Amino acid sequence: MSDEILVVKNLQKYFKTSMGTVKAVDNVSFNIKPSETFGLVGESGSGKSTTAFTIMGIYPPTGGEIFFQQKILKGGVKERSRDLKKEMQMVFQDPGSSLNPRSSVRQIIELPLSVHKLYEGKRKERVDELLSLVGLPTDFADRHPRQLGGGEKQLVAIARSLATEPKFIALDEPSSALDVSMQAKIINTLIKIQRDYKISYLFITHNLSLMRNVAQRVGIMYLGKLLEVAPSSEFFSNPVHPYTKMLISSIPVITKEEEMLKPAKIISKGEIPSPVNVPKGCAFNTRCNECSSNCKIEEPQMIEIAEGHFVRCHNCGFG
Amino acid sequence: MSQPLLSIEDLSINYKVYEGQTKVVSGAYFRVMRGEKVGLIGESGCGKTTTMRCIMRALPENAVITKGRILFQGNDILKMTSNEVQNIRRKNISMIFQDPTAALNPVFKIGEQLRDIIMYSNLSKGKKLDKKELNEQAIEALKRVSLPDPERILQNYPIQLSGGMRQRVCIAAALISSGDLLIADEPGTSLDVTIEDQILRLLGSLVEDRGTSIILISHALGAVKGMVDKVYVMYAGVMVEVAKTEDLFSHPLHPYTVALFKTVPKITGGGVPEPIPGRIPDYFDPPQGCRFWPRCQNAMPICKTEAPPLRNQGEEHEVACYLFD
Repeated sequence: MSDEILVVKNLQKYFKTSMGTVKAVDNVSFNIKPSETFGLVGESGSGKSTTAFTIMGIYPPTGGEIFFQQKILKGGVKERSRDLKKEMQMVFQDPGSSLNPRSSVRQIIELPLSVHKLYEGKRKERVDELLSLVGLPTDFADRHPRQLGGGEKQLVAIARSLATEPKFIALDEPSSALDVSMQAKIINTLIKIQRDYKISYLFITHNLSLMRNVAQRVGIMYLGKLLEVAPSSEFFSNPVHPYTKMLISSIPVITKEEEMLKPAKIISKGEIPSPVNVPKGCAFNTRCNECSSNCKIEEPQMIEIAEGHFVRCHNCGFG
Repeated sequence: MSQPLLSIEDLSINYKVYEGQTKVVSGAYFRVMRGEKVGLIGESGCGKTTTMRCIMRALPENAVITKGRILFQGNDILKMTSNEVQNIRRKNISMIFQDPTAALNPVFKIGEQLRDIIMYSNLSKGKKLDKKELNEQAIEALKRVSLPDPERILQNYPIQLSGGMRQRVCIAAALISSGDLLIADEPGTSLDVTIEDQILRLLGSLVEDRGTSIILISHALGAVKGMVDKVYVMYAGVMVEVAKTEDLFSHPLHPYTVALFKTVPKITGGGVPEPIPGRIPDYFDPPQGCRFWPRCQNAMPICKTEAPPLRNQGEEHEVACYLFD
């Protein structure tokens, strides 16, 4: 772990509810290199967003460690220094609720600049610069969020996250509320920005085909645990974990070449169980096609089956 | 050729807004045969849902139908009295909406909602069921959509179910009264891939068993491809291309269809998709001629003045574009 920008070690986030403890994030470990995109995939309720929120300090972690640029991060957002927050930003899923409806676009983008006391006297130019960076006309600065479309709002949110020149951005489903054409525009903008400014992304989505084209490495989450981590090309050409295979075979595709790549049709069954009662043993055993007796008793460990390819499964480690 | 089950002819719908009227759907054309599975694709805001809601006569109050006919088994739905429409909704056509959470009433138990639908659906057929029969049929309906433990679910409120389960309840409800046609408006969009896959497979097998026709609206192109026989592509309230599914996905013709397919990220990699330049036109003042020309790379002078009609380009493949004249 020499040059990694972000290292997450055994991160835990538990929530206490009246029905019991929910282990939303349970011993998750991964790292992100500079100007790399690490993708987190999983169904709703698998803990992807909670992981991002915990890294950002919105939730203080229950256990585990987060290192950012080799420095350990303390608890919640209130205990972190302002300089650190400048380096880490987040874009949320729903731009409709993450932008203040009573502020103009200019006020929205200026806020992080004034909080961090940046560009004093030159803020107007900086806002214009940020808007053109994300491909919006500069006269949008005087509009209010309600006058923008969903995609444009998300672009404003991205411009705001770039205002302080961060090194790391957590993108929580930045395009899933939008349709395909707008999604393509957002993603292209994000990739261009990453290339120009060497920013690392933690990219969360449940759209696997999008993930294939955006992330260099992908981690798959299920009930708060990482089940498989692999480089994204390997992830799709050689999926190992039964859950990954199920996900990939569920992707609707439109070309013949894609059809060839899908594993033999594995019928997806069942739903993600309640996180309050995580199944004993392997969390996935209730829906697994290759489940053996040991899976219901003992929890599998993460093993490296090839360079950079980790899997948490009893039955596919030695194949 | 036999008579289509449903045929929309030259339908135009405007919405009244403060400044005047937005011309959303313009001369839409759509046809479903008995037992046929039809897909409808296009970006958000292209009038897909408006057109389908019009079939159910469930448009918002500020909508104005300026011209056109919707023939269902030869009768014009737009000219029917509200009683006749009510009857069609009870017996012949039903609709599954995009958001199952909004489609179910949060203050009634699933059982009460399903029993009501079963009761009215049977009343319109002249049958009156007692409580026990209603309950049995409700359980039967939930079993059809492979929901576990239907007796318990009948006692649950919608909030106690997961998204996938709610959508299954909606499908169960829709299947009760869908004698002839089921309209599924993005049934899987708000769900996870695995659940969407399950829901679509379930829908496919259910309509096949019962010989019901289905209209599947979606902007998830892959989902449409896996399920339907024929696809309509809609752009800005106009049908721009109609073809058999295989044909459309292997040889898209209209520049909009081609561009739309390019925006889909592929699991084979190959980089980030290309967006379609520009945006959907302002319906208040839509462009003259073909509504796609401001975003079209092949636009010709004629495109800016006259709207191209749908014309045959090979077997059951129709395109509204001057490029193919």
